[in-house]
Amino acid sequence: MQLAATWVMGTTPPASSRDAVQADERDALSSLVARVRDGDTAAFERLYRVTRDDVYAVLFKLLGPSPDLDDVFQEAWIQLLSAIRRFREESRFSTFAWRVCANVALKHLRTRRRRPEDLVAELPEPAAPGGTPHDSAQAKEAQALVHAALELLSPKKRVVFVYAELMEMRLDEIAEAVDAPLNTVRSRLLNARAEFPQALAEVQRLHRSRRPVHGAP
Amino acid sequence: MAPHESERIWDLARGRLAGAGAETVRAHVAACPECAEAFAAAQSAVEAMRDLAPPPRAPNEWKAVDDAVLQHARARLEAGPLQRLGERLSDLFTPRWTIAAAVAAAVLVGLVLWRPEPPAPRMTPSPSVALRPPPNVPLAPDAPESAQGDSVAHAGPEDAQGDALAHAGPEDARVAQVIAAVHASSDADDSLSQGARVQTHKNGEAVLRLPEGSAVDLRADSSATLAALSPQEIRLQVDRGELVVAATHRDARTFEVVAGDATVRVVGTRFAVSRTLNGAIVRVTEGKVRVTAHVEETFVSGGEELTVTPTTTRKRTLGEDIQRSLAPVIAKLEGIIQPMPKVPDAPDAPAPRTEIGSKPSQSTSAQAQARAAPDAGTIAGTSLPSATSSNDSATAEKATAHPGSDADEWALPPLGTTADAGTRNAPTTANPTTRDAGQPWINGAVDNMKKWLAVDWNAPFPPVGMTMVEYRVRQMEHLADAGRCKPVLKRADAWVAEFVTKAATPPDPELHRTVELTRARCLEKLGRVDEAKKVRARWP
Repeated sequence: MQLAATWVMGTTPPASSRDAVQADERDALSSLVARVRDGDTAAFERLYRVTRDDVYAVLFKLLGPSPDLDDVFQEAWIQLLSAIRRFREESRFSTFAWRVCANVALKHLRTRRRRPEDLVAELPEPAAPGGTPHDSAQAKEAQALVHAALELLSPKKRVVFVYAELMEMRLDEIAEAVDAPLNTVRSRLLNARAEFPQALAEVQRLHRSRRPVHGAP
Repeated sequence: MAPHESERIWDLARGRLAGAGAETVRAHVAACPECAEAFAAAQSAVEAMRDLAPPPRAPNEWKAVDDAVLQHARARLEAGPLQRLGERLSDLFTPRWTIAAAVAAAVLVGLVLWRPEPPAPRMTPSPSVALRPPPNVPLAPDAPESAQGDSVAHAGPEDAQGDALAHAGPEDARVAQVIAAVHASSDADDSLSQGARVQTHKNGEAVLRLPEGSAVDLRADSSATLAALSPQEIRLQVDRGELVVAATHRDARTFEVVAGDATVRVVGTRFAVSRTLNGAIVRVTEGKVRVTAHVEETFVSGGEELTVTPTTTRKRTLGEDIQRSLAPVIAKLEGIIQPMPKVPDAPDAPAPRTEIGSKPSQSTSAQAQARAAPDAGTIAGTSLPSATSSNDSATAEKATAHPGSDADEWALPPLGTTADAGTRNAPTTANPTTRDAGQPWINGAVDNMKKWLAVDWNAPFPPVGMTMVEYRVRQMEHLADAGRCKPVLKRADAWVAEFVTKAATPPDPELHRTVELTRARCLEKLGRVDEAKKVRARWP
């Protein structure tokens, strides 16, 4: 069976076909996972190729454009390979993979809390407003600002917020992915939703203060 | 702003709401300035997060990462069984689990070795310890008095410093028998008959068996007077310190303990009486006593204590720590008390011979020895030779005090034996399952182990052999039994909710039923009868 490249949340299929697609993907992934547990290297390679981009995207959303992202990505796969023996298919493989990603990302995030001034200093130079040639630069800048704002959330709130808002996961899925009670997840999300706009505004204010004034020498 | 408002506002900002739901939220936002502000913030955040996909990577950028991951995977998956086992073990012994296992092992060792009641010096085996086994020697009723075991341990001139007393004479129906005494003395010359006064030093202790079979333990730094001592009437007066009593049940006997203004009357019970500076404290661990103080009577039941002061009496629940501290003493006494086969009807009747002075059957003698010898023998950490129960010992008329290694201390050998250290240290044949009264720290360790093995309902993890799901159900039952109903209702909700939202499989029907019935029970206790009925209707 041909697995969809976005096998979980990357692009959400229409609601009518989503369940069917997910069921098919789940069966195919289950088969691959079972073979990996039996030591099938080819099955792992197939599993890796199919899910690599999604795992990378999740880690990118969780950690931002970090120079350590490749290392974290490899660490996530090492952890995933170790933990796959314990995966009993009681949940979807995607949830299992997000759980591993959350653990690895949390471990990484805890070691690199930074101040907003430092974060802004690392951002690219502010792009001049308007104009098509600058569109990609502006998008990149906006993306960097969002990640800088995410960096100001606590690691646990950040993971929940990213899973809820950027990956559109349901609360129960997030609770399973982060191994926390549902109400804890709800509480973290509530706080993160309150904090994120403020953090974003703060980062944008600091960033604007660095914007070069036109006509200045 | 309420949490549900925030959720709705974010749903609206993300475009997840449509139709009437969206209109309702919009109307609410329009009317609520705070919500409008939150909505604007959410909209800007959503707008900023619109495209956060990682930048595309060229295949050559992936190559190094792919190679590293796949190479690791191949090495791992193609590893031999031994390597796999090693990897699994290394997985198992992650730093987190290693630390957890080390902590658990340390706690376990601590629990086993922790001594809630460290052995007091009075119980330390030493040459100063005086032992007196219960006289299991069968004596002929008509035997000459000299052959009736008129075995008296003489403290002699050193009586003031004498550490041990042992008495069993022809009038043994009216004397107390010293089962064991350490650093104890009596102002009576040779026997603990009526009127005798027993004192223990700061690190001393005296265990006595009374003529009617009850046993008492005079604790350290205590003093008591045997005011009345007969099978029909026992009256002990606590002058100082504490006396622990394990009284046998006797209908035709009065048993009183007097301490200051308080007079404690018992039938058959276990209790302790402490003489305080201005009154007394009566602590009952089992049965019931009647305390007379200030011309009024108060019943004190097991698990209660009564404090008597010169003007008042105050009853309260006996603390667990006190119960724990009394338990080993009571257990020791219970191994000593002896039921009396017959009690004379009239005080003037000839004193019947008890086991102490009479000639019991061999089986009785053997039972008495089996019961008493280990206790008496191990109280001071030494053992009694089996010869103490043999008929040969009947010829032992007098036990002689033998000086110990210390000039101030001396020890008595068991009846019928010489004071030989080797024989004193001969191993007992005590039942290994019996508690070792002479080694309270061992008993403490055993108690600790039992407590450890018992389910700790406050622990965050289940006991061995119980799943977490089941443990949480049992915790709820336990809380409901204890009357803590509000936490039960919360836990029941959480337990069910977790299965609805998290678990891939439904809960075990029996466990679910137990949870619901426990919930119903608690609802009834809280007076929410209608809700309880509904629950019971769903779970008949």
